[in-house]
Amino acid sequence: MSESLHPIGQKVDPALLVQTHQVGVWRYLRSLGCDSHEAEDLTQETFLKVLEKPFQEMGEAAARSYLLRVAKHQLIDRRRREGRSIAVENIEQVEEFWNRHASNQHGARSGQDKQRDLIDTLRHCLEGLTARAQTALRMRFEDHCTREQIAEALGIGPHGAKNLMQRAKQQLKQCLDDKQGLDDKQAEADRPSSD
Amino acid sequence: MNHEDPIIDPLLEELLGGQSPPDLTARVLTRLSQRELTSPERNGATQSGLSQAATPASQDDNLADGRGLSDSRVMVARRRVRRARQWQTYASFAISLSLLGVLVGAGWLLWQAGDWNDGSLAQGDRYGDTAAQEKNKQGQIEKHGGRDIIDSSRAANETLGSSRDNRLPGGMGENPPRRDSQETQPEKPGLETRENSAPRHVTPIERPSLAKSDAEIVERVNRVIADGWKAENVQPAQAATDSEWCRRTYLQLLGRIPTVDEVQKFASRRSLDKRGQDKRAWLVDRLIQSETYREEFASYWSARWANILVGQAGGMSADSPIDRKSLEGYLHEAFAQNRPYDSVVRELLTASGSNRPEAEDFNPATNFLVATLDQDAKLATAKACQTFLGQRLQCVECHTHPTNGWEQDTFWSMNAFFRQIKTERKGDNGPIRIVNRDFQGSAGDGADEAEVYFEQQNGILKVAYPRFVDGTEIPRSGKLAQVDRRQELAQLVINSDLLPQATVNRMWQHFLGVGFTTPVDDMGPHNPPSHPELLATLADDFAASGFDMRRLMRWITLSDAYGLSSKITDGNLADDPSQGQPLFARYYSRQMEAEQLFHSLTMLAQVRSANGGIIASGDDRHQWLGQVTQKMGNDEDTETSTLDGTVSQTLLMMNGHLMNNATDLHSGVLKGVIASKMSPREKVEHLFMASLSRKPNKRELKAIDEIIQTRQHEINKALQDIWWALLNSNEFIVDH
Repeated sequence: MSESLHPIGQKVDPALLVQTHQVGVWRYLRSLGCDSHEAEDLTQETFLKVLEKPFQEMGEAAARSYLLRVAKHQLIDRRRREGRSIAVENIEQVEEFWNRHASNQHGARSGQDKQRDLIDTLRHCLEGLTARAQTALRMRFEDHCTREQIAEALGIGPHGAKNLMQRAKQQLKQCLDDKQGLDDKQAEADRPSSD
Repeated sequence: MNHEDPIIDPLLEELLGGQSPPDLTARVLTRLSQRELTSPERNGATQSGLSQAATPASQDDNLADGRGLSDSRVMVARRRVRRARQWQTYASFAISLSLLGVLVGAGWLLWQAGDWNDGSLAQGDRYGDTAAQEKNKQGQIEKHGGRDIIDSSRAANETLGSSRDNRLPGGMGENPPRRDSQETQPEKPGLETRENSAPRHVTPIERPSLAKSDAEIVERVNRVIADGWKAENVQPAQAATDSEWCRRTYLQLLGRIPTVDEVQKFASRRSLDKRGQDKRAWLVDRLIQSETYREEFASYWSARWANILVGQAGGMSADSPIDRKSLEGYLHEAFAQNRPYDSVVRELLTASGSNRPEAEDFNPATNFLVATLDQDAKLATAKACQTFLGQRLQCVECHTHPTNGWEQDTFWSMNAFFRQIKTERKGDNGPIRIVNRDFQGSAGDGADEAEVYFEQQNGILKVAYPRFVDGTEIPRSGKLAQVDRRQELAQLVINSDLLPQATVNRMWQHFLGVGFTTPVDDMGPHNPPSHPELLATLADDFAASGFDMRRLMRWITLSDAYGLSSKITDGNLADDPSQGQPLFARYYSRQMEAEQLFHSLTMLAQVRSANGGIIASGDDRHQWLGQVTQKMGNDEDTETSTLDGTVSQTLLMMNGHLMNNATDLHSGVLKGVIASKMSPREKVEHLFMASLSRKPNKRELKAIDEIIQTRQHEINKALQDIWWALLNSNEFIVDH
C-alpha cells in the first residue's frame, strides 16, 4: 500500500502536487522524445489539465501513474495535431523504468526525493565507467561533439565510438537498476514487521 | 530530438548538458488563479467537488468531466454553492461600503498633506506597477470567495509576501495600490537615481575611431548606389538643378523652404569657391553648423526626433501625460550641441525623475518613458526596440512572428529590462515621476531571480529573464543594488550594431524619401535591406564617428543619389520603390511632412527678422500639429493625420488659418512684395521664387500676363490670388 502525503480522498494541495510530481512528469516526457522546452510546456499542460477540477488524494503511486498517463495523452494529442507520432520504441520499457525508479512501494523516500536522487546516482554510475567511456559521453553530452569528433579524439572509428557509447549507456542503466534494487531491499529491510 | 537511448540520453543531457527540469509550481498556480478569475461560473460549479479524478485508469478527459456522481448530489451541491455565494456577495458589499468611506477620508487627508500619489491611482495599471497588479489580482481572488482552488493555491499566494500586508482585515478587499516604498530603493530624485551604484555587467565595446574622410565615405556611397543601377540596368535621373537641390536641402535640414534671398545666394555661388569647396557642401555646412541657423536647425530636429520618440500627437493634447515642450527642449540642446547620439539614447532609456520643470527632480528625458510606460511596460519595450533597434517586436508579444521566426520569448526577455521602474504622479495633474525600484518578479516571490511571465497562445505560462535581442543575458536579479537592468539595456543597445543601422536607415529615409527597408523601423530577416553592404558600412562609419548626427547628415546630403532630379524618365522607370526595392536612381518626390508645411507657411506669413533665423512659436506649432494628428490609441501607438491627401487636407490648405495668414495682404511675403517697387511681372516672379524656389516658365508667364492685364484695377488682389494658387499647388506641398 503506498503511502500518501494526505489521507486518501482528501483534496490535494495543487502546489504540493506539482512540486511532488513535476520532475517525474518532465523526465517521462523527455523519455518520450520531447526536447526540454516541449517537455516544459507539456508538463505545465498536464497539471493544468488535471487541476481543472479539484484533485483528490489517491496515493502517490496512483497519482504519478495518472499524471504520466495524462502527460502521454497530451503528447499524443500534440503529435496528432502536428501529423506526427511518438517515435519511441518499447514505450512499455520506458514506462516500466519510470514506474520503478519513481515508485514508493515500500514507504521509503517519496517519489520526489527519488527523482532528486536519480541524477546523483547517475553521476556516481558515470564515475564508475572506464575513462574512455566517460570521455566519450562527456564529449557527446557536454560539448555536443559529433560521433566523428569523438572517434577522432579517441583514436577509433565512428562505428567504434557508437558501440562504446551504447555499451556505456547500458552500463549506466544497469547501474541505476542495481542501485534501485538495493534501495528497495534496504527499504524492505527497514520496514517494521507487521507481526 | 533523436535519442539513441530514450531514458539514459535525456538523463545525461540533464547531468552533463545542464538541461534541468524547471520549477513550474508558481506558473501553474498563477495560471490556475487566472483561470479562476476568468471562469467564475465554471469554478463555482467545481467547488462542490463534483468532478474529480476518481480513477487513474480512466481516460483523462473523462476524469475531468466529473462523472460518477448522481444528479441529486449535483443539485444539492449547486444550491449550497449558490447560497454561499449570495451570502458572500452581501457581506462583501456591506464591508466594501464601509471601507470605501474610510479610504476616501484617508485619501483626502493624504492629498491635503501634498503627498505623492501613485500614478496608478489615476491610470489604473497603466504605468506598470506589476506588484500592485499582483496584489489586485490576489484581492480579486479573495473577493470571489474561498473556492477550493484558491485555498489550495495558498502556497503561491504566500510567496507574494508583502502583498498580504496591503489587504484590509477580513480579506474582502485591499487598499488601493500605494507607494510601495518597502519594495524600492531609497527614492532619490531622477538624475541621482540614474547614477545607481549597481555593478555594470555589460562591458562597453571599443569602436575604432573613424579614419575615413567625409569625401571617401560619400564616394563609397556613390559607388555602391551606382553599382545597383548598373546591375539593374537603370539610368539615373539627371542631377537636380541648384534651386531644386537648395529647396529640398532647406526642407530636410531646417524643415522649411528657403527664402528668395537664400535661393539666390546659393544659385549665385560658383560651383567651387576660392578654397575649392563645393557649393553644395558649403550650404550643408552652413545649415548644420553655422550660428545663423543653429537655433532653427536644433528646433526642427528636436521636433522631428520628438515625433519619433513620442509620436506627432504625443504631448499635443491637454490631458496628455507627456510634457512635449520639455522633451523638445532636451532634444534641442542635444542637437544644438551635436551631442553623440548614443549618449542621448542612454539618457532616454535610463532616465529617472519628474517630467516637468516645476518638480525638483526634473529630468526632461523621462518623457520618452512617460509616453510609453503602459501596463507591464509592453509599449515601452516595443517602442524602444522600434526606435533604437529598428525592430518591431510588438506582434511577438502575443505570438510567434509570422515570417521571421521571432518567438514571444524575444519580446518578453526585452520587456524584463523595463520592470525595475514605476511611475508616480503628484495629484491628478502634477508631473509624472519615474522611479527605480526593485523588481520582485511576476510571481512576487523574490528579486534574486526576478522573472516575467507571459502566456502563450495555448494558455501555457512561460517565464522570461532579461535577455537582449542578440541573445546576451545579464544576471537575473531584480535588485537594483545588484543589477540595474535599464543601465545594462542601454549599454547593450549602444554596443549593438542595430543602433547605428536603425539610425542610418531612418536618416536615409528622411533625406531620400525611402529607407533601405520599408518601413525603416521593421528591420530583420523578414525584411532585408535593399543595399545591405551600404547600410552596414554607413552604420559602422556612423558609430565610428562617435554617433555624430551632423556628419551622417552631411554624408547623405552630399551623395549623388540625394542630388538627382525627381523626374521619372524612361531610363529610371524601373526604379519604383512601391513595386520592389529602391535603387535611388531619382529623388523620390513626396508630400511635405506636417512640420515642414507648418514651418514653411509660417515663414511665408512672417516678415523675416534681420538675423535670418526663422523659428515658429513652439506653442503655435503644437497647437496646429495637434489639430492635424491624432493618436489611434491602439497597441502600436499609431497615429492618424489629416494631411493625407483627403478633403480634410484640401480644406486645411484652402481655408486654414495658416493659409489665411500666409495669403494676407497685410503680412509676410505678400505684404513685402506689394509694397515693393518691382513691376507686376517681377512681383509675380518673386512670389514664384518664394513658394517654389524657381521662376515661372513661359507658359506660366503668359497666363500671368493675361491675369494682370484683366485685373489692372485690382492688381494687389490679383497678386493675392496668384499667391494663394501657388501655395495650393502640388508643386508647393511636394518635396521634389
